[in-house]
Amino acid sequence: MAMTTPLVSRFQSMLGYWRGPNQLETGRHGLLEMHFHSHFEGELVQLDAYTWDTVTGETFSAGTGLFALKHDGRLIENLYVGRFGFCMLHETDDEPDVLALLGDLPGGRTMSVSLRLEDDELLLTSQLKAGVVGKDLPRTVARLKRYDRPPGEGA
Amino acid sequence: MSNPLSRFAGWIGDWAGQGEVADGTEILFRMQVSSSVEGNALCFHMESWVGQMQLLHGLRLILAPCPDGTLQCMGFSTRFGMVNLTPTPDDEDVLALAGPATGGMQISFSLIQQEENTLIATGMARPQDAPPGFAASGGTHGILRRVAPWRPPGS
Amino acid sequence: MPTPLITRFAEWLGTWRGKCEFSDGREGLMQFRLTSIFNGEAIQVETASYVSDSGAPMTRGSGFFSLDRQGRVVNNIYADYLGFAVLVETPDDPEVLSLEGGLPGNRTLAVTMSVADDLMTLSSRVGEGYKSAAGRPRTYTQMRRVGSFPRAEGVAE
Repeated sequence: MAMTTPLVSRFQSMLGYWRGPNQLETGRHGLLEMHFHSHFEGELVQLDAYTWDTVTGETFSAGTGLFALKHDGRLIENLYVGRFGFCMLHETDDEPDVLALLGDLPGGRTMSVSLRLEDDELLLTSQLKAGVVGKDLPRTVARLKRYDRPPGEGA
Repeated sequence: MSNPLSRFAGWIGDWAGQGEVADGTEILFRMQVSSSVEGNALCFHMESWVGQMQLLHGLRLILAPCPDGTLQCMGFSTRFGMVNLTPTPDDEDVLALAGPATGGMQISFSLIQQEENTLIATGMARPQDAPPGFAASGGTHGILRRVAPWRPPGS
Repeated sequence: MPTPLITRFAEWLGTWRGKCEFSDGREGLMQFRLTSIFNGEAIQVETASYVSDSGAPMTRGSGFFSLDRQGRVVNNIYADYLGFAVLVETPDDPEVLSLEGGLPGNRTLAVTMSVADDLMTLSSRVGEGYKSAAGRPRTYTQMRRVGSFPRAEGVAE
């Protein structure tokens, strides 16, 4: 059983596997799978995320993020996505039931992500914004359903 | 193979051993190296233990290529917070990483392959604002051996 | 030094995904993940299949490959729609892994797998105890490797 820490209490309802249809910035349709699991007795929460083509199974995008709490109690995420590389996201102000993060990507771009639980669905939105020059990509939205929740740490 | 992770792929597996921290306290080490992000990254999960199996330090690192092919590393330390490390040039059989942690420390960490199934692990932390010539007081050193199933002598 | 098991199946390790036609006529996406464990003494096999459009789960399974004293592959499996089974390798072409074993309820399971050019082909058929299952529908999938499983030069694992 994962020890309840301030970090895990933020993610308790999200731990486990989620999957649902997703539309990429390019308009292609895929399936998004997200897996939240905790490590080090609840000091770290890891998110593994994959998007693949619904027909062929070809992977569009794969990434992993590590969540921890800063001294001020806000979340920080160390993120790696194969398509973009590395970046760090910081929690921003939002509605109480929304987990919103924002950070800088290489090349002057920014990435914003929000997570919200709506009944039994996990709503994920994300957007890539260009730097000073360039065009923002459309915001992508995915509604994920829980399909599995093995008990305990590492769920 | 063009994958820049290839030279470390032989380390995939479970490692364990003993070591000590700067004050001479003996520690037990465990490290699991695994493929991650659908083969685009390596995950190093390290734990050191003291006394009655108390976790002295947990470190989870994701080593992966940026879109330009250069390797970078991000992770989380139970002592220092989020870490973002860059490989420093070294021999083929050495992984040497250094970079800042969000807790204000500068981290350096290395794994040196001694023999086929032996790795030397060293870690060091010093304040980021430490003056030149500052002697880091903390440090960890250990010898890790690949965990292989026991076989009867002579088999 | 790679174990005999890893020497034989090094090219199979990693994650595979592709379309699947189930024996009951349904279609979906199948995913296989093969991971070396205990320094190559066994290979863990995790399988999952999904409804292509929604991602809803169809089947889940888990198992282990190991070698017996004769060098044959033994596959200890659990699948949510089949239960537990122990499959043992049967003679086939060198590049093909054929396995057979008993299932709960006096049924049998036969599986053939092969990997060529980063394409994993899997076919399985459930039969009734004492009868040949040759005419029964089979589950069939061809899966492509996803990602680039990092492998050290000259090291199989």
